[in-house]
Amino acid sequence: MANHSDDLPQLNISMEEKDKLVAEVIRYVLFKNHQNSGSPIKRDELTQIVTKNYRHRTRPSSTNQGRVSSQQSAADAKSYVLISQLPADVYRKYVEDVNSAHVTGFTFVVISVVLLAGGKIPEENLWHHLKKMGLFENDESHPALGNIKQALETLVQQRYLQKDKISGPEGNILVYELAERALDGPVNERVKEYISQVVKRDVASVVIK
Amino acid sequence: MTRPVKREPHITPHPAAGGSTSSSSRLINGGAETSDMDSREATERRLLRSLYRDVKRIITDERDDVERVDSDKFNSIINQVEDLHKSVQKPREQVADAEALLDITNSLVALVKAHGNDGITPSDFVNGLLRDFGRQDGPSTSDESSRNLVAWKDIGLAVSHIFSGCPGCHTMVGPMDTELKQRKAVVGRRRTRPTGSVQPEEVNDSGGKERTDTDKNMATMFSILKNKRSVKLENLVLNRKSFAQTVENLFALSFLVKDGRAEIKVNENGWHLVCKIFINAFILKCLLPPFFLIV
Repeated sequence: MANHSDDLPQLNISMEEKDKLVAEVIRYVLFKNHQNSGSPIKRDELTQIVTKNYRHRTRPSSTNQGRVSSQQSAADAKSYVLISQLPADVYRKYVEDVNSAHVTGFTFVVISVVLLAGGKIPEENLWHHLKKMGLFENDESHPALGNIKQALETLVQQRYLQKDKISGPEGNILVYELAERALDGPVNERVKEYISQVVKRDVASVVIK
Repeated sequence: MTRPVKREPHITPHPAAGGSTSSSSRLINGGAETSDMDSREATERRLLRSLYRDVKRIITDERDDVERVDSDKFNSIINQVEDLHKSVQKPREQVADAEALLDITNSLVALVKAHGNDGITPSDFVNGLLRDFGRQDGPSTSDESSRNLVAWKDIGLAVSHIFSGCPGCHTMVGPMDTELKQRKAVVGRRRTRPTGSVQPEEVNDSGGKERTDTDKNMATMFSILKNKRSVKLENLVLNRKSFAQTVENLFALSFLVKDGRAEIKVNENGWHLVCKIFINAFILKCLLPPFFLIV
Protein backbone atom coordinates (compact mmCIF):
# COMPACT_ATOMS: atom_id res chain seq x y z
CA MET A 1 0.00 0.00 0.00
CA ALA A 2 1.34 3.45 -0.86
CA ASN A 3 2.41 5.60 2.03
CA HIS A 4 0.46 8.83 1.94
CA SER A 5 1.75 10.18 5.24
CA ASP A 6 3.65 12.86 3.33
CA ASP A 7 0.35 14.25 2.02
CA LEU A 8 -1.25 14.40 5.43
CA PRO A 9 0.15 17.77 6.53
CA GLN A 10 -0.90 19.32 3.22
CA LEU A 11 -4.44 17.98 3.68
CA ASN A 12 -4.53 19.09 7.33
CA ILE A 13 -5.29 15.60 8.56
CA SER A 14 -3.73 14.56 11.79
CA MET A 15 -2.52 11.06 12.54
CA GLU A 16 -5.45 10.52 14.88
CA GLU A 17 -7.88 11.56 12.19
CA LYS A 18 -6.24 9.23 9.72
CA ASP A 19 -6.48 6.34 12.17
CA LYS A 20 -10.14 7.09 12.68
CA LEU A 21 -10.80 7.03 8.94
CA VAL A 22 -8.90 3.79 8.58
CA ALA A 23 -10.94 2.27 11.40
CA GLU A 24 -14.19 3.29 9.72
CA VAL A 25 -13.13 1.81 6.40
CA ILE A 26 -12.01 -1.46 7.97
CA ARG A 27 -15.21 -1.73 9.99
CA TYR A 28 -17.25 -1.17 6.84
CA VAL A 29 -15.27 -3.79 4.92
CA LEU A 30 -15.63 -6.41 7.66
CA PHE A 31 -19.39 -6.03 7.95
CA LYS A 32 -19.98 -5.65 4.24
CA ASN A 33 -17.94 -8.77 3.55
CA HIS A 34 -20.24 -10.80 5.76
CA GLN A 35 -23.36 -9.17 4.41
CA ASN A 36 -22.34 -9.81 0.77
CA SER A 37 -21.21 -13.41 1.43
CA GLY A 38 -17.72 -12.61 0.24
CA SER A 39 -18.68 -10.68 -2.93
CA PRO A 40 -16.28 -7.90 -3.94
CA ILE A 41 -16.74 -4.47 -2.33
CA LYS A 42 -16.65 -1.50 -4.70
CA ARG A 43 -13.98 1.11 -4.23
CA ASP A 44 -16.58 3.87 -4.61
CA GLU A 45 -18.25 2.77 -1.39
CA LEU A 46 -14.98 2.98 0.53
CA THR A 47 -14.12 6.34 -1.00
CA GLN A 48 -17.41 7.79 0.15
CA ILE A 49 -16.62 6.89 3.73
CA VAL A 50 -13.35 8.77 3.56
CA THR A 51 -14.48 11.80 1.57
CA LYS A 52 -17.92 12.43 3.07
CA ASN A 53 -16.44 14.83 5.62
CA TYR A 54 -13.72 16.23 3.39
CA ARG A 55 -15.53 17.44 0.30
CA HIS A 56 -14.25 20.99 0.72
CA ARG A 57 -10.67 19.81 0.80
CA THR A 58 -8.77 19.10 -2.41
CA ARG A 59 -5.58 17.21 -3.12
CA PRO A 60 -2.45 19.28 -3.91
CA SER A 61 -2.26 20.33 -7.56
CA SER A 62 -0.03 18.39 -9.90
CA THR A 63 1.42 19.08 -13.36
CA ASN A 64 0.10 15.72 -14.53
CA GLN A 65 -3.40 16.32 -13.28
CA GLY A 66 -5.04 14.89 -16.41
CA ARG A 67 -3.18 11.61 -16.05
CA VAL A 68 -4.00 11.48 -12.36
CA SER A 69 -7.72 11.92 -12.97
CA SER A 70 -7.83 9.20 -15.63
CA GLN A 71 -5.90 6.87 -13.36
CA GLN A 72 -8.25 7.74 -10.55
CA SER A 73 -11.33 6.93 -12.63
CA ALA A 74 -9.80 3.57 -13.55
CA ALA A 75 -9.03 2.93 -9.89
CA ASP A 76 -12.61 3.76 -8.94
CA ALA A 77 -13.79 0.80 -11.03
CA LYS A 78 -11.85 -1.56 -8.78
CA SER A 79 -13.34 -3.68 -6.07
CA TYR A 80 -11.84 -5.43 -3.11
CA VAL A 81 -12.12 -8.81 -1.41
CA LEU A 82 -10.75 -10.03 1.89
CA ILE A 83 -8.20 -12.85 1.77
CA SER A 84 -6.49 -14.25 4.79
CA GLN A 85 -2.70 -14.22 4.74
CA LEU A 86 -2.32 -16.66 7.59
CA PRO A 87 -0.43 -19.92 7.05
CA ALA A 88 -2.66 -22.84 6.08
CA ASP A 89 -2.35 -24.70 9.39
CA VAL A 90 -3.06 -21.59 11.47
CA TYR A 91 -5.98 -20.71 9.20
CA ARG A 92 -7.44 -24.18 9.57
CA LYS A 93 -7.10 -24.08 13.32
CA TYR A 94 -8.35 -20.59 14.13
CA VAL A 95 -10.20 -19.03 11.19
CA GLU A 96 -11.84 -21.77 9.19
CA ASP A 97 -15.63 -21.80 9.52
CA VAL A 98 -16.92 -25.35 9.67
CA ASN A 99 -20.50 -24.21 9.16
CA SER A 100 -19.75 -22.84 5.70
CA ALA A 101 -17.30 -25.55 4.60
CA HIS A 102 -19.89 -27.13 2.29
CA VAL A 103 -20.07 -23.90 0.30
CA THR A 104 -16.29 -23.87 -0.05
CA GLY A 105 -16.43 -27.44 -1.29
CA PHE A 106 -19.03 -26.57 -3.91
CA THR A 107 -16.96 -23.58 -5.04
CA PHE A 108 -13.87 -25.71 -5.47
CA VAL A 109 -15.68 -28.45 -7.43
CA VAL A 110 -17.33 -26.04 -9.86
CA ILE A 111 -14.11 -24.09 -10.48
CA SER A 112 -12.24 -27.36 -11.04
CA VAL A 113 -14.76 -28.65 -13.57
CA VAL A 114 -14.63 -25.37 -15.53
CA LEU A 115 -10.84 -25.32 -15.34
CA LEU A 116 -10.54 -28.88 -16.65
CA ALA A 117 -12.95 -28.06 -19.48
CA GLY A 118 -10.46 -25.45 -20.71
CA GLY A 119 -11.56 -22.46 -18.65
CA LYS A 120 -14.92 -22.23 -20.37
CA ILE A 121 -17.85 -24.65 -20.39
CA PRO A 122 -21.39 -24.54 -21.79
CA GLU A 123 -24.06 -24.52 -19.11
CA GLU A 124 -25.46 -27.85 -20.31
CA ASN A 125 -22.09 -29.59 -19.93
CA LEU A 126 -21.57 -28.13 -16.46
CA TRP A 127 -24.93 -29.49 -15.27
CA HIS A 128 -24.07 -32.84 -16.86
CA HIS A 129 -21.09 -33.16 -14.50
CA LEU A 130 -22.92 -31.73 -11.49
CA LYS A 131 -25.74 -34.25 -11.94
CA LYS A 132 -23.27 -37.08 -11.40
CA MET A 133 -22.68 -35.66 -7.92
CA GLY A 134 -26.38 -35.38 -7.11
CA LEU A 135 -26.80 -31.69 -7.98
CA PHE A 136 -29.74 -30.93 -10.26
CA GLU A 137 -30.61 -27.64 -11.92
CA ASN A 138 -34.16 -27.47 -10.61
CA ASP A 139 -33.32 -28.63 -7.07
CA GLU A 140 -34.27 -25.89 -4.61
CA SER A 141 -33.89 -27.89 -1.42
CA HIS A 142 -30.67 -29.81 -1.55
CA PRO A 143 -29.82 -31.18 1.95
CA ALA A 144 -26.46 -29.38 2.07
CA LEU A 145 -26.53 -26.63 -0.56
CA GLY A 146 -30.17 -25.58 -0.75
CA ASN A 147 -31.04 -23.94 -4.07
CA ILE A 148 -28.35 -25.22 -6.44
CA LYS A 149 -29.02 -22.65 -9.14
CA GLN A 150 -28.78 -19.88 -6.56
CA ALA A 151 -25.52 -21.35 -5.24
CA LEU A 152 -24.10 -21.23 -8.76
CA GLU A 153 -25.30 -17.66 -9.19
CA THR A 154 -23.52 -16.73 -5.95
CA LEU A 155 -20.24 -17.89 -7.49
CA VAL A 156 -20.86 -15.44 -10.34
CA GLN A 157 -21.52 -12.62 -7.86
CA GLN A 158 -18.35 -13.50 -5.97
CA ARG A 159 -16.46 -13.26 -9.25
CA TYR A 160 -15.23 -16.83 -9.29
CA LEU A 161 -17.21 -17.36 -12.51
CA GLN A 162 -18.68 -15.16 -15.19
CA LYS A 163 -21.58 -15.85 -17.53
CA ASP A 164 -21.46 -15.18 -21.26
CA LYS A 165 -24.02 -15.62 -23.98
CA ILE A 166 -22.75 -17.05 -27.25
CA SER A 167 -24.88 -17.30 -30.36
CA GLY A 168 -24.77 -20.79 -31.82
CA PRO A 169 -26.48 -22.68 -34.65
CA GLU A 170 -29.39 -23.54 -32.36
CA GLY A 171 -29.78 -20.12 -30.75
CA ASN A 172 -28.05 -18.51 -27.76
CA ILE A 173 -25.98 -20.71 -25.47
CA LEU A 174 -25.00 -19.74 -21.92
CA VAL A 175 -21.35 -20.35 -21.16
CA TYR A 176 -19.58 -20.22 -17.79
CA GLU A 177 -16.02 -18.96 -17.72
CA LEU A 178 -13.44 -18.56 -14.96
CA ALA A 179 -13.43 -14.99 -13.57
CA GLU A 180 -10.81 -12.88 -11.79
CA ARG A 181 -10.80 -14.60 -8.43
CA ALA A 182 -10.46 -18.08 -9.95
CA LEU A 183 -7.75 -16.89 -12.35
CA ASP A 184 -5.76 -15.31 -9.53
CA GLY A 185 -2.28 -16.87 -9.56
CA PRO A 186 -2.04 -18.48 -6.12
CA VAL A 187 -5.66 -19.67 -6.17
CA ASN A 188 -5.33 -21.15 -9.66
CA GLU A 189 -2.15 -22.98 -8.77
CA ARG A 190 -3.56 -24.43 -5.56
CA VAL A 191 -6.70 -25.61 -7.39
CA LYS A 192 -4.64 -27.42 -10.02
CA GLU A 193 -2.47 -28.95 -7.34
CA TYR A 194 -5.41 -30.39 -5.43
CA ILE A 195 -7.07 -31.64 -8.63
CA SER A 196 -3.93 -33.61 -9.39
CA GLN A 197 -3.98 -35.06 -5.89
CA VAL A 198 -7.59 -36.19 -6.28
CA VAL A 199 -7.04 -37.79 -9.68
CA LYS A 200 -3.60 -39.23 -9.05
CA ARG A 201 -4.84 -40.97 -5.95
CA ASP A 202 -7.01 -42.96 -8.32
CA VAL A 203 -4.09 -43.65 -10.64
CA ALA A 204 -1.88 -44.66 -7.74
CA SER A 205 -4.50 -47.08 -6.41
CA VAL A 206 -4.78 -48.64 -9.87
CA VAL A 207 -0.99 -49.05 -10.13
CA ILE A 208 -0.82 -50.68 -6.71
CA LYS A 209 -3.50 -53.12 -7.74
CA MET B 1 -10.74 -37.43 -45.04
CA THR B 2 -12.62 -36.03 -48.05
CA ARG B 3 -16.19 -36.72 -48.95
CA PRO B 4 -17.59 -36.76 -52.57
CA VAL B 5 -19.92 -33.89 -53.41
CA LYS B 6 -23.54 -34.96 -53.22
CA ARG B 7 -25.64 -34.02 -56.26
CA GLU B 8 -29.37 -34.42 -56.86
CA PRO B 9 -30.06 -37.53 -59.06
CA HIS B 10 -31.35 -36.63 -62.54
CA ILE B 11 -34.97 -37.76 -62.92
CA THR B 12 -36.12 -38.38 -66.51
CA PRO B 13 -39.72 -37.29 -67.25
CA HIS B 14 -42.23 -40.09 -67.64
CA PRO B 15 -43.17 -40.61 -71.34
CA ALA B 16 -46.83 -39.56 -71.45
CA ALA B 17 -48.98 -39.95 -74.58
CA GLY B 18 -52.17 -37.94 -74.88
CA GLY B 19 -55.53 -38.96 -76.51
CA SER B 20 -55.79 -42.77 -76.64
CA THR B 21 -57.31 -44.77 -73.83
CA SER B 22 -54.45 -47.17 -73.56
CA SER B 23 -51.95 -44.35 -73.16
CA SER B 24 -54.11 -42.67 -70.47
CA SER B 25 -54.32 -45.92 -68.55
CA ARG B 26 -50.54 -46.24 -68.87
CA LEU B 27 -50.34 -42.67 -67.48
CA ILE B 28 -52.55 -43.56 -64.47
CA ASN B 29 -50.54 -46.70 -63.74
CA GLY B 30 -47.32 -44.69 -64.01
CA GLY B 31 -48.68 -42.10 -61.57
CA ALA B 32 -49.54 -44.78 -59.04
CA GLU B 33 -46.06 -46.26 -59.31
CA THR B 34 -44.51 -42.83 -58.78
CA SER B 35 -46.55 -42.20 -55.65
CA ASP B 36 -45.51 -45.60 -54.26
CA MET B 37 -41.88 -44.74 -54.88
CA ASP B 38 -42.29 -41.32 -53.23
CA SER B 39 -43.81 -42.77 -50.09
CA ARG B 40 -41.07 -45.45 -49.89
CA GLU B 41 -38.43 -42.78 -50.31
CA ALA B 42 -40.00 -40.60 -47.60
CA THR B 43 -40.04 -43.58 -45.22
CA GLU B 44 -36.38 -44.30 -45.89
CA ARG B 45 -35.43 -40.68 -45.35
CA ARG B 46 -37.39 -40.61 -42.09
CA LEU B 47 -35.56 -43.73 -40.94
CA LEU B 48 -32.21 -42.19 -41.85
CA ARG B 49 -32.93 -39.04 -39.82
CA SER B 50 -33.99 -41.21 -36.90
CA LEU B 51 -30.67 -43.06 -37.06
CA TYR B 52 -28.80 -39.76 -37.05
CA ARG B 53 -30.74 -38.70 -33.94
CA ASP B 54 -29.71 -41.94 -32.22
CA VAL B 55 -26.08 -41.23 -33.02
CA LYS B 56 -26.35 -37.71 -31.61
CA ARG B 57 -27.93 -39.12 -28.45
CA ILE B 58 -25.05 -41.57 -28.05
CA ILE B 59 -22.53 -38.75 -28.48
CA THR B 60 -24.28 -36.73 -25.73
CA ASP B 61 -25.00 -39.50 -23.26
CA GLU B 62 -21.72 -41.32 -23.56
CA ARG B 63 -19.63 -38.17 -23.81
CA ASP B 64 -17.34 -39.34 -21.05
CA ASP B 65 -16.44 -42.53 -22.90
CA VAL B 66 -15.95 -40.62 -26.13
CA GLU B 67 -13.55 -38.17 -24.46
CA ARG B 68 -11.35 -40.90 -23.02
CA VAL B 69 -8.08 -41.40 -24.85
CA ASP B 70 -8.15 -45.17 -24.63
CA SER B 71 -11.76 -45.54 -25.72
CA ASP B 72 -13.02 -47.17 -28.91
CA LYS B 73 -16.29 -45.34 -28.66
CA PHE B 74 -15.08 -42.48 -30.82
CA ASN B 75 -14.06 -44.84 -33.65
CA SER B 76 -17.33 -46.74 -33.58
CA ILE B 77 -19.36 -43.52 -33.68
CA ILE B 78 -17.38 -42.02 -36.55
CA ASN B 79 -17.72 -45.25 -38.55
CA GLN B 80 -21.45 -45.28 -37.90
CA VAL B 81 -21.78 -41.71 -39.14
CA GLU B 82 -19.74 -42.54 -42.23
CA ASP B 83 -22.09 -45.43 -43.07
CA LEU B 84 -25.15 -43.25 -42.65
CA HIS B 85 -23.57 -40.55 -44.81
CA LYS B 86 -23.59 -42.91 -47.83
CA SER B 87 -27.40 -42.89 -47.79
CA VAL B 88 -27.75 -39.12 -47.61
CA GLN B 89 -29.31 -37.53 -50.67
CA LYS B 90 -31.57 -34.67 -49.59
CA PRO B 91 -30.76 -31.42 -47.72
CA ARG B 92 -32.59 -32.38 -44.51
CA GLU B 93 -30.43 -35.45 -44.07
CA GLN B 94 -27.36 -33.40 -44.96
CA VAL B 95 -28.18 -31.05 -42.08
CA ALA B 96 -28.52 -34.01 -39.68
CA ASP B 97 -25.17 -35.35 -40.93
CA ALA B 98 -23.49 -31.98 -40.39
CA GLU B 99 -24.92 -31.69 -36.86
CA ALA B 100 -23.61 -35.15 -35.94
CA LEU B 101 -20.18 -34.16 -37.22
CA LEU B 102 -20.34 -30.95 -35.18
CA ASP B 103 -21.10 -32.90 -32.00
CA ILE B 104 -18.20 -35.26 -32.61
CA THR B 105 -15.91 -32.30 -33.26
CA ASN B 106 -16.91 -30.67 -29.98
CA SER B 107 -16.08 -33.89 -28.16
CA LEU B 108 -12.68 -33.93 -29.86
CA VAL B 109 -12.03 -30.33 -28.81
CA ALA B 110 -12.82 -31.25 -25.19
CA LEU B 111 -10.42 -34.20 -25.50
CA VAL B 112 -7.63 -31.97 -26.79
CA LYS B 113 -8.24 -29.46 -24.00
CA ALA B 114 -7.93 -32.29 -21.50
CA HIS B 115 -4.47 -32.99 -22.83
CA GLY B 116 -3.52 -29.53 -21.57
CA ASN B 117 -4.44 -30.68 -18.07
CA ASP B 118 -2.18 -33.73 -18.06
CA GLY B 119 -4.95 -35.70 -19.68
CA ILE B 120 -7.36 -35.14 -16.80
CA THR B 121 -10.93 -34.66 -17.92
CA PRO B 122 -13.76 -33.27 -15.82
CA SER B 123 -15.20 -36.79 -15.72
CA ASP B 124 -11.97 -38.17 -14.25
CA PHE B 125 -12.08 -35.48 -11.60
CA VAL B 126 -15.73 -36.13 -10.72
CA ASN B 127 -15.07 -39.87 -10.47
CA GLY B 128 -12.15 -39.16 -8.15
CA LEU B 129 -14.34 -36.97 -5.94
CA LEU B 130 -17.05 -39.61 -5.75
CA ARG B 131 -14.46 -42.18 -4.81
CA ASP B 132 -12.84 -40.05 -2.07
CA PHE B 133 -15.84 -38.09 -0.74
CA GLY B 134 -18.83 -40.13 -1.85
CA ARG B 135 -21.38 -41.06 0.79
CA GLN B 136 -21.86 -44.72 1.51
CA ASP B 137 -25.39 -44.54 2.92
CA GLY B 138 -26.59 -47.72 1.30
CA PRO B 139 -28.58 -48.25 -1.88
CA SER B 140 -29.74 -45.00 -3.40
CA THR B 141 -33.38 -45.81 -3.82
CA SER B 142 -34.86 -42.72 -2.22
CA ASP B 143 -34.85 -39.25 -3.75
CA GLU B 144 -32.99 -37.87 -0.71
CA SER B 145 -30.06 -40.28 -1.03
CA SER B 146 -29.80 -39.70 -4.79
CA ARG B 147 -29.07 -36.01 -4.10
CA ASN B 148 -26.80 -36.54 -1.12
CA LEU B 149 -24.02 -38.38 -2.92
CA VAL B 150 -21.07 -36.24 -1.86
CA ALA B 151 -19.77 -35.05 1.51
CA TRP B 152 -19.51 -31.37 0.57
CA LYS B 153 -18.41 -30.34 4.02
CA ASP B 154 -15.43 -32.72 3.92
CA ILE B 155 -14.37 -31.35 0.54
CA GLY B 156 -14.64 -27.81 1.90
CA LEU B 157 -12.50 -28.59 4.92
CA ALA B 158 -9.87 -30.18 2.71
CA VAL B 159 -9.63 -27.20 0.34
CA SER B 160 -10.25 -24.27 2.70
CA HIS B 161 -6.60 -23.19 2.41
CA ILE B 162 -7.04 -22.65 -1.34
CA PHE B 163 -9.43 -19.70 -1.06
CA SER B 164 -8.55 -18.45 2.48
CA GLY B 165 -11.72 -16.43 2.72
CA CYS B 166 -12.44 -14.20 5.69
CA PRO B 167 -15.68 -14.73 7.59
CA GLY B 168 -16.18 -11.00 8.38
CA CYS B 169 -18.31 -9.66 11.23
CA HIS B 170 -22.00 -9.40 11.75
CA THR B 171 -24.20 -7.81 14.34
CA MET B 172 -26.86 -9.62 16.26
CA VAL B 173 -29.56 -7.06 15.64
CA GLY B 174 -28.92 -6.19 12.03
CA PRO B 175 -27.95 -3.00 10.17
CA MET B 176 -27.40 0.05 12.37
CA ASP B 177 -29.33 2.38 10.07
CA THR B 178 -32.61 0.60 10.55
CA GLU B 179 -35.28 3.07 11.62
CA LEU B 180 -38.04 2.30 14.02
CA LYS B 181 -41.27 1.90 12.14
CA GLN B 182 -43.98 4.15 13.43
CA ARG B 183 -47.12 2.35 14.31
CA LYS B 184 -50.01 3.37 12.19
CA ALA B 185 -52.90 4.88 14.08
CA VAL B 186 -55.69 2.41 14.17
CA VAL B 187 -58.62 3.74 12.24
CA GLY B 188 -61.87 2.16 13.17
CA ARG B 189 -63.67 0.91 10.19
CA ARG B 190 -67.32 1.57 10.02
CA ARG B 191 -68.89 -1.77 9.91
CA THR B 192 -71.90 -1.90 7.73
CA ARG B 193 -74.31 -4.70 8.21
CA PRO B 194 -74.47 -6.97 5.25
CA THR B 195 -78.22 -6.88 5.36
CA GLY B 196 -80.47 -3.85 5.64
CA SER B 197 -81.89 -3.18 9.02
CA VAL B 198 -85.60 -3.63 9.34
CA GLN B 199 -87.58 -1.74 11.86
CA PRO B 200 -90.96 -3.15 12.58
CA GLU B 201 -93.81 -0.72 12.14
CA GLU B 202 -94.89 0.95 15.28
CA VAL B 203 -98.36 -0.09 16.24
CA ASN B 204 -100.61 2.90 16.70
CA ASP B 205 -101.39 2.58 20.41
CA SER B 206 -104.81 4.34 20.39
CA GLY B 207 -105.91 2.50 23.53
CA GLY B 208 -103.35 4.31 25.58
CA LYS B 209 -104.42 7.65 24.22
CA GLU B 210 -108.05 6.83 25.03
CA ARG B 211 -107.07 5.84 28.50
CA THR B 212 -105.27 9.12 28.89
CA ASP B 213 -108.41 10.93 27.82
CA THR B 214 -110.41 8.69 30.07
CA ASP B 215 -108.12 9.55 32.92
CA LYS B 216 -108.69 13.20 32.26
CA ASN B 217 -112.38 12.65 32.14
CA MET B 218 -112.21 10.68 35.37
CA ALA B 219 -110.22 13.42 37.04
CA THR B 220 -112.71 16.08 35.85
CA MET B 221 -115.64 14.02 36.96
CA PHE B 222 -114.15 13.32 40.34
CA SER B 223 -113.39 17.00 40.93
CA ILE B 224 -117.04 17.76 40.14
CA LEU B 225 -118.10 15.12 42.64
CA LYS B 226 -115.77 16.63 45.22
CA ASN B 227 -117.42 20.00 44.84
CA LYS B 228 -120.96 18.70 44.87
CA ARG B 229 -121.69 15.85 47.23
CA SER B 230 -124.13 14.20 44.91
CA VAL B 231 -124.99 14.84 41.34
CA LYS B 232 -127.78 13.59 39.18
CA LEU B 233 -126.56 10.91 36.82
CA GLU B 234 -128.09 12.50 33.72
CA ASN B 235 -126.56 15.87 34.57
CA LEU B 236 -123.13 14.36 35.04
CA VAL B 237 -123.08 12.13 32.02
CA LEU B 238 -125.45 13.37 29.35
CA ASN B 239 -124.36 15.71 26.56
CA ARG B 240 -127.44 16.44 24.52
CA LYS B 241 -125.37 17.74 21.60
CA SER B 242 -122.82 14.88 21.42
CA PHE B 243 -123.67 11.24 21.85
CA ALA B 244 -119.99 10.33 21.68
CA GLN B 245 -119.22 12.61 24.61
CA THR B 246 -122.06 10.99 26.54
CA VAL B 247 -120.60 7.56 25.99
CA GLU B 248 -117.16 8.72 27.07
CA ASN B 249 -118.58 10.31 30.21
CA LEU B 250 -120.43 7.13 31.02
CA PHE B 251 -117.20 5.19 30.40
CA ALA B 252 -115.25 7.45 32.77
CA LEU B 253 -117.95 7.15 35.42
CA SER B 254 -117.87 3.39 35.14
CA PHE B 255 -114.14 3.47 35.94
CA LEU B 256 -114.75 5.67 38.94
CA VAL B 257 -117.37 3.29 40.21
CA LYS B 258 -115.13 0.30 39.53
CA ASP B 259 -112.27 1.93 41.43
CA GLY B 260 -114.64 2.62 44.28
CA ARG B 261 -114.25 6.33 44.15
CA ALA B 262 -117.88 7.04 43.30
CA GLU B 263 -121.19 5.28 43.73
CA ILE B 264 -124.54 5.45 42.01
CA LYS B 265 -127.58 5.14 44.11
CA VAL B 266 -131.30 5.75 43.65
CA ASN B 267 -133.16 7.99 46.09
CA GLU B 268 -136.82 7.81 47.14
CA ASN B 269 -137.84 9.87 44.12
CA GLY B 270 -136.26 7.40 41.71
CA TRP B 271 -133.48 9.74 40.71
CA HIS B 272 -130.08 8.26 39.96
CA LEU B 273 -127.52 10.11 42.05
CA VAL B 274 -123.77 9.88 41.81
CA CYS B 275 -121.86 10.48 44.98
CA LYS B 276 -118.22 10.58 45.78
CA ILE B 277 -116.99 7.86 48.16
CA PHE B 278 -114.51 8.89 50.78
CA ILE B 279 -111.45 6.68 50.83
CA ASN B 280 -111.66 5.87 54.54
CA ALA B 281 -115.30 5.00 54.17
CA PHE B 282 -114.41 2.80 51.21
CA ILE B 283 -111.75 0.91 53.12
CA LEU B 284 -114.00 0.38 56.13
CA LYS B 285 -116.74 -0.68 53.87
CA CYS B 286 -114.49 -3.35 52.47
CA LEU B 287 -113.15 -4.43 55.88
CA LEU B 288 -116.24 -4.23 58.08
CA PRO B 289 -119.25 -6.53 57.84
CA PRO B 290 -121.83 -5.39 55.31
CA PHE B 291 -124.45 -4.22 57.95
CA PHE B 292 -122.16 -1.36 59.02
CA LEU B 293 -122.47 1.54 56.59
CA ILE B 294 -120.74 4.82 57.13
CA VAL B 295 -121.75 7.75 55.02
